[in-house]
Amino acid sequence: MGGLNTILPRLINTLVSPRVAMIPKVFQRGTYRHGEANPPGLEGGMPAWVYAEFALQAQETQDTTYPVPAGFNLLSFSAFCIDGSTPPVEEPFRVQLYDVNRQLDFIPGKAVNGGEIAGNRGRQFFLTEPHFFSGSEPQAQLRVSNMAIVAVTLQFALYGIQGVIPQ
Amino acid sequence: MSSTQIVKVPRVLIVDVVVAASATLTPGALSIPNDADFEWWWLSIFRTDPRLKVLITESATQRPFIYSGSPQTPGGFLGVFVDNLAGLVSSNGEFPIAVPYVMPASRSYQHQFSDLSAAQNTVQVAYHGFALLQVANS
Repeated sequence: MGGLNTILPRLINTLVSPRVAMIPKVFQRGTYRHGEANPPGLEGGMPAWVYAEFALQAQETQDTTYPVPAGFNLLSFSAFCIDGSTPPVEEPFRVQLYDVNRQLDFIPGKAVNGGEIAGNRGRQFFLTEPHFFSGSEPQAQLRVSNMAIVAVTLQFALYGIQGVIPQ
Repeated sequence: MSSTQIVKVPRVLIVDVVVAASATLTPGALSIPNDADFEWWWLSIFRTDPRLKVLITESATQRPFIYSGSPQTPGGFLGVFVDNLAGLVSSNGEFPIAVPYVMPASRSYQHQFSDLSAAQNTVQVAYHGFALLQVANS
């Protein structure tokens, strides 16, 4: 008689992994909801990259509040943080992001390491669902901290579709 | 009575630019061929040095693809680092536009590259997608 010892593993194995849609962006169809080629409802919008850039001294923190295009649906993060050497060395940083109009803190509490929200330089992190910045003048607030002991240039970019108000 | 249908044909459109050392806003244009609209799905970029920025604008409407709301941008508004735009071809493959964007036939898209590496920077931007060819049903 197996009892729980046999039932539990079978139950666990039938769970749908919460990471089922978190597939690397190798395939377009794997980027968003399972089996959907692209997030529905954003057709007709225009791609947009919205970035903020900082010149940060060693271990300095700065923040900025800046507008994003009207009807902006956030899909992806990417970041670039380098020192002044040649070739440039990628340096660590931390980041927090806030949707001003909707008063939504994407990263409440402690800031997240840049590599854990935007990947290393040359990579992107995609949301499995778009985030809509609502209002007539949508704004994002970004706070970044240089974790290195050298000065860096840091650019944090949001990628999304502009000009679409989701239904 | 004849009718037409749209046939999707894979197509890659290229912007090739050599950016001189420390040059700013070096132009390069993406021209959509006049035989069909182009449905844009993917973007990939090769560059010599990552310290390269780009601005992209639709010429007919002057609508920008790149925005900076940050007043702290050092050196002025020169655009997004190309690695933030499209990822790194050597490690990452291509960047999915995620929602396909149709670029009308014959339209052009202005690119402006700025080098921050103080050395010549060779860049190629590849737009991957489909030509939306209109063909007659036989």
